[in-house]
Amino acid sequence: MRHEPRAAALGLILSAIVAMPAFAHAHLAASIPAADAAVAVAPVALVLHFTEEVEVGFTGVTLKDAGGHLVPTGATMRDTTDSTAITVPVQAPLVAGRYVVAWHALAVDGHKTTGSYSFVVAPKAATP
Amino acid sequence: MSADAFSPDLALLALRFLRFGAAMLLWGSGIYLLFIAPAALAARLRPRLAPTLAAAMAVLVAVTAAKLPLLAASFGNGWPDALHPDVLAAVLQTRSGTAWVLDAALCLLLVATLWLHRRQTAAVTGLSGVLLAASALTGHALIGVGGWAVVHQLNDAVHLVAAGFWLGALPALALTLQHEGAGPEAVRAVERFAAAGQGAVTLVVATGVANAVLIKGGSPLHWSSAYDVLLLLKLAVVVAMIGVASVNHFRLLPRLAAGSNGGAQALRRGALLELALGGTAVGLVTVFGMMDTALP
Repeated sequence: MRHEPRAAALGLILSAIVAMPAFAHAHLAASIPAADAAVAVAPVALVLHFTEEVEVGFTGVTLKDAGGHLVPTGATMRDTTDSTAITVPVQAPLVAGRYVVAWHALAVDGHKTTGSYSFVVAPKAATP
Repeated sequence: MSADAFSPDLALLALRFLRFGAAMLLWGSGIYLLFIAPAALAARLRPRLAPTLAAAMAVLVAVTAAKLPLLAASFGNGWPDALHPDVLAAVLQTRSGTAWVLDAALCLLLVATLWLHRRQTAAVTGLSGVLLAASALTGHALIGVGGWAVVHQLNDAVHLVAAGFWLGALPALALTLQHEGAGPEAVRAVERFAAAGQGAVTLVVATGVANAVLIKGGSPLHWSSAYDVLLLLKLAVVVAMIGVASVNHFRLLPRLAAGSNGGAQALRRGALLELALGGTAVGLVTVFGMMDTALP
């Protein structure tokens, strides 16, 4: 039985190395419009997909145009099919130009993350 | 407000540590009094432990009361949101909020046990065990879906309950040795604790390994991150704990069994050292819990 502590020690060391709790912070996995995308049609809503399930009440975005002016957006809605995704309605028409989306997310495990990305609204030039 | 040195997140971190410490102390001491110490020894030990256990209960209640406003401040926009009714209501809609409701209910029951004359220790021990296990309902064990999430949470609960017994019983063990020396009942209590402790360590190891498989799935560690530096620190602490526990078990326990009071006092110091190391490990885990492994 003298080998027991050695085995236990080895096991504990192994577990200390690998058995850390999961740090499930929500990061942005994908979005519509996508980051750095140029879209021809101005979106009426932003869709953000995260890497983890998020709390809708504390997850949202601010949308700013190239001049840094805030574009009004509606309340964050949970995607009906995917609890890792949110939809935010855009409440003003987006004219051509670059827009910055600054997001903040609260994962269901209570961890907060923030980030930002931009996209460009570039309607095809009207042909005379 | 975000520039405040004392942020809601830092306060939540302190709360988490206090909650683990207090629940582990109540749980471990309770098991020690109920099942480890012979009845006569437990009766002598109870009044000596009473002030510490009362303090642990007060800490649990205070921590739980403070937690909801702190969650509101943390999830919302800083300290001004701590008592904002809409934000507090929104927090209750989150999973952290649901877990808080369970915590608050358990704390109310804990307070209610003060009116119990008999079986109070059993009630407090059971409730603090549930409180520890309930920690697995929030936080990191929530990742994964369906059945695996449940397995993960159960595994986490066993891990916490086993570690809580091991660490939480150490103060009672030290008190036993301080006041009883190498008396026959003390020797029996220490021998029983040594056996139960080995079982607890085995459970901690097994659930720890299972945790690793459930969470990490073999993804590599990145040793340049602050997270992994803390992890290395925790590893060093755990190795030291095992070292101290081994000396306690294989060098000092035979001396105690032979009736040496010097052995008893050396064992007491060993138990306190183990406790200090264990507290450090819990502290490190508390800090890990707020960190993101996906970032450097």
